[in-house]
Amino acid sequence: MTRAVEFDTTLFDAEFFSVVRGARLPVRPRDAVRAGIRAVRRLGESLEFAELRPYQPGDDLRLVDWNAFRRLDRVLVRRYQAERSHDLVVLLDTSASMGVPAGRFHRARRLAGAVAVMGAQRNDRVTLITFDTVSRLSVVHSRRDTNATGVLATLSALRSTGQTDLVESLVAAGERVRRGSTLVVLSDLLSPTAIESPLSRLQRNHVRTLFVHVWAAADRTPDLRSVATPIDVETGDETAFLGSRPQLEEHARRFDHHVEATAERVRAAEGEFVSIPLSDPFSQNVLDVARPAGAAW
Amino acid sequence: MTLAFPAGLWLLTLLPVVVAAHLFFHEKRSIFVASLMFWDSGDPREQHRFRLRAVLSMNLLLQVAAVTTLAAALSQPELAGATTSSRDVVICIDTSASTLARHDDGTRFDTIRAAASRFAADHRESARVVVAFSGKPRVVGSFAPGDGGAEEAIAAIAPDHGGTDLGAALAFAEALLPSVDGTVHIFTDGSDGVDPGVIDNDRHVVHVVGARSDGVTDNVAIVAADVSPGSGGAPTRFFARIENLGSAQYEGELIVEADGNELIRRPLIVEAEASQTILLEVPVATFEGASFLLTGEDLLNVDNVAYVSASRIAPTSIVLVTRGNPFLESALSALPGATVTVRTLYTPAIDADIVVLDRRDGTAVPYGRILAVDSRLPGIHDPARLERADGESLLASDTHPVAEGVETSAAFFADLWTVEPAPGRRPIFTSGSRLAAFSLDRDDLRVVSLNFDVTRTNLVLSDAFPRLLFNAADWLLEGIERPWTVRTGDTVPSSTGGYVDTRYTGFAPADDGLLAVNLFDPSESDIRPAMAAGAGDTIERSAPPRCLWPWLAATAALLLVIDTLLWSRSR
Repeated sequence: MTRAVEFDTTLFDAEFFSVVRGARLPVRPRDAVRAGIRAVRRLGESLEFAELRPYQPGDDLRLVDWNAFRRLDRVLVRRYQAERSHDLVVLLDTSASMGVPAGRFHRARRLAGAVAVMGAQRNDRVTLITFDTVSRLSVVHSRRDTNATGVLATLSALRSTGQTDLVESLVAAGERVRRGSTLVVLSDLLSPTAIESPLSRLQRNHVRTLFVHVWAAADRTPDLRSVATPIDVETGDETAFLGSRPQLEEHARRFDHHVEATAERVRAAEGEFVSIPLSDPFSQNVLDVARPAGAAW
Repeated sequence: MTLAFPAGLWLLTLLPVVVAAHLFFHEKRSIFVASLMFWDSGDPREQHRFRLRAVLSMNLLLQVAAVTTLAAALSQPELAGATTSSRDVVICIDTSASTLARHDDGTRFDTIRAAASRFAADHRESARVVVAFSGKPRVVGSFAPGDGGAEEAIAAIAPDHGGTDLGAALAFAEALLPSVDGTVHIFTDGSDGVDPGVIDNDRHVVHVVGARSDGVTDNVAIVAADVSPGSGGAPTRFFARIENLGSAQYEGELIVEADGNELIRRPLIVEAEASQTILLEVPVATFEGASFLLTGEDLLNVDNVAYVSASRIAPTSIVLVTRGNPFLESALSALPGATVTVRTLYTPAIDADIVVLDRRDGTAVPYGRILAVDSRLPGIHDPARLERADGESLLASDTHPVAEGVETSAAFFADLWTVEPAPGRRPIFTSGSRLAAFSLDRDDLRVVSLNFDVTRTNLVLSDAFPRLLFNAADWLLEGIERPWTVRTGDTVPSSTGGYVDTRYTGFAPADDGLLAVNLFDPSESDIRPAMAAGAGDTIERSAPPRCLWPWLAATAALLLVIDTLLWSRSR
């Protein structure tokens, strides 16, 4: 019995699939067995036959090829190719700040969906983890579903709430991500980004990281047309902000510094950092994510 | 600027209410932002400014401005109208043969024409009539205020070979002026030897500008003079304005005399093309008239003397008993201070200074001051019909009815008619061998009898007729004590302390009630005491004040509209 999985067709519309199909994820050459398939060859673990070799003490007798013994009068042991797909983990920030401005969370979910679909089409094992204060394992993609409809359905149902704790979320995600996986983090990065420690751990675990910074122009220069009290959508904190030119310039300077520092930390851990402005079209965003400068994931 | 309704400013008391309401209902506007990580709120001054701006929003400022403007509109501010001093001007230009005399720069007429043209250009704000005269005056053109055609008309005038008749020119010019509010300027070479008395008239200011062979047009004139007798021990005020029309400084003396006695003699210096106003205060006993005299050298000294009567015109009540005589009625009404009441029948109960009997054939004849017209009627000659039945025959044997069909003319009467008081009948004038008019003064009876039919002569169409009536009335009223009264425009000392708030249009409160005025006529409802202005003086006219409240009300409405738009946009 197959459970029907539905996703929001307004969020993931025809244009979405058109863009995603035109932007396939790159292949890591050393892991490729053949073009279009990413597989790690490990003998003896999977069901696909690989070779016969002479029996050695300690080998599992269940692996002895008795037909070969009758024909060749030699004790040979079957060896199987251990075929395991690549893990692609999408870590999506679902905190309340992603909902401000209104289009940010929409764009972030479409990008996460694009990454998932592209990974599924590459036969990756796609895992979607959402996080705000804590990270939550939302869905694990079935390899039989080349359109990652389960992930898309999960993304369709998400809401932006709670506060952001990127550091803790990376720590938690690191415990779930398997060695050699690829971790794609989509966030507005509007939280402290002292992420050196979890990044180091991921690096040691040969996890490739790609930080996708989804940002709006208002993050850098607030749009204050009249006197109003700014309220932090996550914490409810207020501040006095007149919107004078020096204040706005200082705001932009701090934002730039924060983003640059975060990018430096990511690159220091051999990760990739992609800036996704909401002002760019979605197709451009997908291309930026699929082929980050100087790297192939 | 004045406020017609100062109580409207009470609306300003709403301002604290507006501010309080704004503070009470003020909604703190807030916007949700993704993060406050990068917001700088550390500067206390910035926070203070933030809080101030949050309270003092544009809406509050607009509402305060709207209420203030509305209060200003309600108080009806008015800008005082500009004061203008314009009046009708008749420019008489001498074109007689004597103006053809030449001097170094041309003829006298060139000088006259240039001066007149310059004068016309300088008085464009006035209505001007240009008259050319030598023997017989004629109108060259009439020009409305602002019309520059007067100069062209003057330039087109050429001298002729006639004589100079200043008197005729002045009479002609005065007939053109609709009211006393006008001036006559005569540009002449001044060589006709005319009697200065003709200039010293009591109706209009007359300036005579001389143009002599040397081309100099300098002239100093007393252009206005007045006397304000003091009362209650206060000194009498003598006012004079001297104008130097020439290009050289005038140096001389001003002498003021009262009833022929010199009161003041003071040196006088008037700069070229300037005027000087002199106000002197001297305690003087009762006097009838004052004269002002300039003693300095002047090329034209006919206007260096001014005479001012210290007495005012007293009212005269006249009863005209007639069955209809428009000529007589209009001529009597034109007498200074006259109030004419027309009746068809005389009764002894009528109280009047003068009774005018027009073709009366009735009953009683008044006993007092009588002007009898057309004495072919028998009543006035019948002593039995007089109210005073003393049996004395007054006129019976002295009547000389005018023959029918007598021809008269304005020129004939103008120089002939004067009324001389006499104890008995005195002929005023005759027509042929017949007595056309006579006077009689006997006891309490004074009679002027005009023994001809005024409807059958052209006399009434000339200015000689009202002049005759004026002289007759003046003589008839001699010796009659008449109370003082007030004419429109006279300055009236108020014993009740005067009115207040009379600078506003509308009802003006007085001590004993309200004075109703025409609310729709700013000049009529302006009941401020008028400045005393002698005949011919320049009368200052104030334009009606400009009301500002419509503009202010519109501004207030605009502010409220902007306020509403801003409010709706911020929603």
